[in-house]
Amino acid sequence: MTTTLGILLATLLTLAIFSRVVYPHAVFRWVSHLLLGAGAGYVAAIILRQVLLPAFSFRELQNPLHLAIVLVSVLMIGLMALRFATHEAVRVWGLLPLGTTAGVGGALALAGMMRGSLLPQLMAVEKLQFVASVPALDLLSIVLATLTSLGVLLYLLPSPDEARLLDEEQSFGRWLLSGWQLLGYWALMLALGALVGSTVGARLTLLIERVQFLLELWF
Amino acid sequence: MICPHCGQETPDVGDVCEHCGGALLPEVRPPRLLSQIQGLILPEPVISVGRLHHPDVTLPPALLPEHLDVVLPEPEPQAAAEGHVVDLDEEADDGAGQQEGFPPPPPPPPPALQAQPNLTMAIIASAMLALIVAGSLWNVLGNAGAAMRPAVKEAYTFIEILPDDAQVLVAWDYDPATQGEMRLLAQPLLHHLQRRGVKIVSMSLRPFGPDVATDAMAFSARWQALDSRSLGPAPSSLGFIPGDALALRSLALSPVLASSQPSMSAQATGMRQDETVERFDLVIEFSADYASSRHWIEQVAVRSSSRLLVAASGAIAPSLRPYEQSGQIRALLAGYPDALAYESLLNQVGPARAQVTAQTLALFFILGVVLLAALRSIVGRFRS
Repeated sequence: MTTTLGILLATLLTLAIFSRVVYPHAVFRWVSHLLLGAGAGYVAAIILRQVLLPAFSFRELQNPLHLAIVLVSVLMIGLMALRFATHEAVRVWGLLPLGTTAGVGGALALAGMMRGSLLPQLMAVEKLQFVASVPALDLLSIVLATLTSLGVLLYLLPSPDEARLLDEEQSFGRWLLSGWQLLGYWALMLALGALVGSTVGARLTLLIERVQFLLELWF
Repeated sequence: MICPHCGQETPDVGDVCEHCGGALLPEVRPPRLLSQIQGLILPEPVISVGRLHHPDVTLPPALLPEHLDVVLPEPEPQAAAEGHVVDLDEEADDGAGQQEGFPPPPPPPPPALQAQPNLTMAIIASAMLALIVAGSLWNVLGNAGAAMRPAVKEAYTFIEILPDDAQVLVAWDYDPATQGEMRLLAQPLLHHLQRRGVKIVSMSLRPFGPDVATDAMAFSARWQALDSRSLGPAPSSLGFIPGDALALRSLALSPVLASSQPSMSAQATGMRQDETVERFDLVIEFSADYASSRHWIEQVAVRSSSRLLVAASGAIAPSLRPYEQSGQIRALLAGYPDALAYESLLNQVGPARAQVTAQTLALFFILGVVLLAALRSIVGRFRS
């Protein structure tokens, strides 16, 4: 009986979410909120059980290093909470852990991006292959990739120099920049198209899996 | 200063009002294309009836695609105050709001504010659902061969040549929302690892990670029940490790210390606290989130000679391709097609093969709808 009710509920909730494509009705909203609320509550419970409580366990606190880490963490969380208090002096103290957290996170992200993304990707330009079996075209692909990247930058970040050039009537600079920006624009459109297309494919797989899951339950 | 949203006095320091939380900074106009992207692709699902709610984006009604037949309301004063109004009509904007440092006051709401049910969408959605059900019940293409990308063969070879006492770190960085797609990739890879008899250590950067890992292992157990070969030791787990990039940085230095319960993790995995991520012969990340994969590349792959294999959702695969081409990801498996190809290599009938007919029919259906819409648009243009 309980299993049948569960299957029925799963089917109804799935259809309620799917029906959003037709009309954003109240049941859809209710189910969405239920889903998000249950997820948030579950995450909170997991963090409490798997992260916070083990940190306070007697066995972990016997290690002086772990004890120090826990105490500093508690102090920082307390100061972060004080950041939102109204008294000015308290807010200044509260900025200390917030700044530390943001600073360490930012530095880590920046260093990681330089070392793990920017430099390797720049170095990888030389590996670009237009057609793998024709090495002579490798140079062409590198030039094309560079021009396209600069075109995208030009399209997204119009500089004062560019604006000045664009003000001139029918100049060579205007023609060149317009063409370059157009190249960047189409490169962006192609990239966005690829992203949207692959996202649609992925969501379609999810939908099919969900339908098959329900069919398996019903039959 | 006086808050433009609630009218109360608030200190000059800070970006938001102390009383109502409204923004105090002047509106910053994003670049033209960026504003277009923000306007057309919403980062979060829309929940409210007939209203687009997002802290950064409020769409003007003129941007709505006509075929959706949804009438958007004008933003209410409070909603406009909380949100960032993206105005694409630069010529029409007199800039008065920007001069004052506040967004311009919203126009009064029109009388018709409710979204209308869309009959066309109902027919299209029902037809697609019917096709998927038919394709699932009658899987005539179940034995169709899959297109094999070199990366799939490469991933298969990596696992095939692992030494018998190898240790593999598996990261489960996806949520139940994408489980249906990710399970397609997880099941064959997990089965292959267990068939090779290697030691698997699980971990996750997401709270739901241990749960989706359990689910994937339960599905994989169905295949193992049919396999007569030895299946190696039971997987151990480092659990959920919070902290994203920060957690991965410490994981690269010491997986045991990075976990929430170091002593228990050391016991479960048999690793010492001074062992780094180099201890693992292979690192596999199951990811439905581009940021997670990037963190793995930037924080772990650059510090380790262990091979990184990423099994990603099809939605983020295009963003990860550059990392595969540069060799930072040794092999990238993406979505349903690669799952199908991997199942073929294992000679197993798995969940990807069960989807072949339904997936093919649904893709052809979507292609047909897009072609019809394009044709209708072209004909309409000629008529006008």
